[in-house]
Amino acid sequence: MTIETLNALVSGAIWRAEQLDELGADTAASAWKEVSQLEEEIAKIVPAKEAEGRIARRGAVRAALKANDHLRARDLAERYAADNGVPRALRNELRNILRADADELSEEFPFVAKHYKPNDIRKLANRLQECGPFNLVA
Amino acid sequence: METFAFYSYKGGVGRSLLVANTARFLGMLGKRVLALDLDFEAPGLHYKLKVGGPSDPAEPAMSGGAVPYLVATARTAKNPPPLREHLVELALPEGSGGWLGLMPAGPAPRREYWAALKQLRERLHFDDPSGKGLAPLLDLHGRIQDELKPDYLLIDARTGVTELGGLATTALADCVVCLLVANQESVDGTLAIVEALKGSARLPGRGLPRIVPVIARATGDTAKEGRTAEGIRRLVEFGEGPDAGGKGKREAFALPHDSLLGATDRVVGGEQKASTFSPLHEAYLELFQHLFPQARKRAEEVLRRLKGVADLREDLTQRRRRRFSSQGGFDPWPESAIEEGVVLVCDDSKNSRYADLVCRGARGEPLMVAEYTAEEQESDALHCWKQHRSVRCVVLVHRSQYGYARKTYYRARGWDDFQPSDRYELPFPREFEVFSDPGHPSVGGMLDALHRGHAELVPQVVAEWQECMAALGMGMHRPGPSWRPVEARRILDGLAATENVEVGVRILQHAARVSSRGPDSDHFDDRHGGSGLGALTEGELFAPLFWRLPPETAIKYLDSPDSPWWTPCLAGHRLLAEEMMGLRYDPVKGALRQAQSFAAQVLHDEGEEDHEDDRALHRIHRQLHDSRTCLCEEPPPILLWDRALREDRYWSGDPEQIGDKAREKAKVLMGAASQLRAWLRGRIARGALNTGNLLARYDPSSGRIDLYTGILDALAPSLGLHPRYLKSVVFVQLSALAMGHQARDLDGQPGFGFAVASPAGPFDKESPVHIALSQYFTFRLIERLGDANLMGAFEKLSDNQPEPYRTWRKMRHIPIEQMRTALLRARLSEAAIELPGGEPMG
Repeated sequence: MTIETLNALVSGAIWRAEQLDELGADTAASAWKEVSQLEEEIAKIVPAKEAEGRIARRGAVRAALKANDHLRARDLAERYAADNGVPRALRNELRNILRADADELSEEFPFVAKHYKPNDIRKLANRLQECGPFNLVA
Repeated sequence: METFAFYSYKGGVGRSLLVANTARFLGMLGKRVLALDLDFEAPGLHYKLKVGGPSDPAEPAMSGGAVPYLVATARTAKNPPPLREHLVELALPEGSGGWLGLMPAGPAPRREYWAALKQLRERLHFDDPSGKGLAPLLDLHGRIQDELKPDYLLIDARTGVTELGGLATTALADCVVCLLVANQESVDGTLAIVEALKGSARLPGRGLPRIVPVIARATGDTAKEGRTAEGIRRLVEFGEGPDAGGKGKREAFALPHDSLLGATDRVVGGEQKASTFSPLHEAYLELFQHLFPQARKRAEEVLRRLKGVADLREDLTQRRRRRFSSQGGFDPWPESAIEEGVVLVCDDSKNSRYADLVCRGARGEPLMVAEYTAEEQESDALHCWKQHRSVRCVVLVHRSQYGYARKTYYRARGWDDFQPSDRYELPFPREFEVFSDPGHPSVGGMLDALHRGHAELVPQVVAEWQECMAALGMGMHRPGPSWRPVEARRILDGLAATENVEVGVRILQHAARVSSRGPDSDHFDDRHGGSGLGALTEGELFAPLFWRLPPETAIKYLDSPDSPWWTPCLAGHRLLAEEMMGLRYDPVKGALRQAQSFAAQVLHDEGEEDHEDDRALHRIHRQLHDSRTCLCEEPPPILLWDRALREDRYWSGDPEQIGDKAREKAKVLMGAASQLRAWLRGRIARGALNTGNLLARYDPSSGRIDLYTGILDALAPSLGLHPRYLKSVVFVQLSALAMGHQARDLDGQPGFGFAVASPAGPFDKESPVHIALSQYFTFRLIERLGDANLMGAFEKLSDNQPEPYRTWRKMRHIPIEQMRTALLRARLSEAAIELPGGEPMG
């Protein structure tokens, strides 16, 4: 798929996800997931040294967070930060995005922050989603 | 904070009750405990801990709880509601030092609770990958830990496979107590959960939880083999369990089925009152020792105290079974008279002391206290209880190497100091009234009380006599008490000395009742003809007492039926008729036969074919036996004739008028004690104290015996005798005559020719042969009874009687068989016969 096609698709997907988000629709999360996937495809084509490539990388991580796919967002951020030739600014930006997300959970639930790391909680939640109660599906 | 999750794959295993008991136990141990109900779909912990149930209008309505709290913090816990609004603090006994809080699920089952739960389901998804679903629950857990700082958080987790149940056990708990019942369904499900728990994801810093499988509703027949047993074995391998007889083997904890605590949902954890002790409570405490190693010592101590005091309480409330006699014994303490865990204030109001049990008397005064205490504190305890004037018995229980040691101290009425007693059985309430010193109860003491009118002791004394006699007929191979004939004799003599007629009647009634029990009912192997303890009681207790107790007693006994179908015990009569005179005496059988033939005749005449029932027969039979012996205040025939002859020596006037005048004068004489005694002294001087028609009268036609009590009471001082013994002797004399007449020989014939003179005229004399024979058998009976008082009265009376009454002295060494033969001949007619050892009489 060409970059032009991907750009057109991602613009439409962002517009659609924002509208659904505003509506509070259940499908907003999957719309953001679609955005994140499209941004990820663009990031594969456009290198990080180009402004468009940096935007796509930030977009992929943000969209994954909005899609409640925090583990994927973290994976993406770690992968992009580890790429060769990634500008330091982008690396910091990605880290800040993740930190802001974690801070949000900690701010909302102060006693959780005191005892646990947000990421550990998310891992547990994911495990619960994947394996069911008592890990019986694993 | 240690978090314990109580989980069960299936419901109805007593999980919430265990949580409630655990919480209370830890609270009473001085720990800070919070019980958290996470069984949102079927909350009930607040019912178990008795708070704010909607069915209890006395309790303020509870509105908070885990569900309302999580709804409030589902989005954010930045400004959470105060935690205390969602908690209930539960009262613990004073001095326990602990804190017990409950966070219920919510105000279930009110509508607002279900509305809140619906809201929670919409807002909170625990598997939300953002962690925002999980965060409120973990936030609550963290907040409890930081703000309430409990030592223990006990979670009542949801049954089955649910997200919340899974989180409670995998994310929150340090220890998971898995309850199950011993069936395949429950074991398989629990096994799957426990296996999964081992591999489940956990938050960093939290290791694998301890897993403690507990079998609920266990019974003795829990499977030892098969798939279920194998499943339980695997559960124990995965988890923890107590040692099963060493060798490193372990078994699952078991909570027995308990209809008392289980059915009532009674929370007893930590309680030290004996009434809370049950197999389930015992199992709880054993489980607590394992779950909370730091509380092990305390749990052991509570268990020991509970067992010791519960044993004591059981002893106090159970009727004691005797080895042989199935009746007798004091009534145990009623439950209402026993108080548990009471602090008693001394009479001087300065000191007080805790008693595990207090047994109160009828007026509410403490009579006996029991304490579980260390051996070295015994003197302190005694010193303190000494101050309580009404306390007469102190029971101190302490642990010993063989279980429990019990020491009892008593003080007699009016004494200050307690004295140790060897008596092991604890006294019952009546004993405090009966005995001055219940620590040393004796048969003598019981007999004294009996003579003072304590008729309720009769079963006890009779039972004691049976115990003394029981070994008489026991096989050598059987263990049991030794035969104590001297003690039995002492009891018999003591019973016979009873003056009180009501008590005497009670003695005869009770002896008759226990006599009627067959050999099967008392495990008594009599070597004397295969009869049981009942037969022995009839022959050796009832029969002698029938003659030895005041005759008023025997008369009243025969006339006071227990029930419409009651028939008197005739062992006394049979002792005289059968054992002494060699005749058969069964008037009941004879009368019944007569009644049956009479009833058959009536029914036949009325053309009825079916007998409705036997009631009519019994009624007739009763009538035939009513009033056989009576106490008569009327003047006796001899006195009447005496007065008549004084009135008109030559019978010149109208006999009827003479009779009436004589009767009036006789009555006057009977009312004038000194004149009557003077008249009797005259007869004594002439040796004319006939038994027949003067002291008593036997009417051969009706079989009735009248004892002239007025004459006997007036005569006794003149002879230097106690009236009761004089009456007894006369009663025996007349009974011997009556038996000679009524009892049947081997041919079934009564002695029609054997009877005393008719009182129809002054010149009818008593048959000397019959008198001599009846006197001989009277002597034999009194000799058999071994009652010195009766023998003395008999000798004294007969010495003042006409010649035939004294011939027994000459015949006393003649074998009884010879006299029986003479009796058989004499029963045929009044013709003169030569009695063995004497001259021709008649």
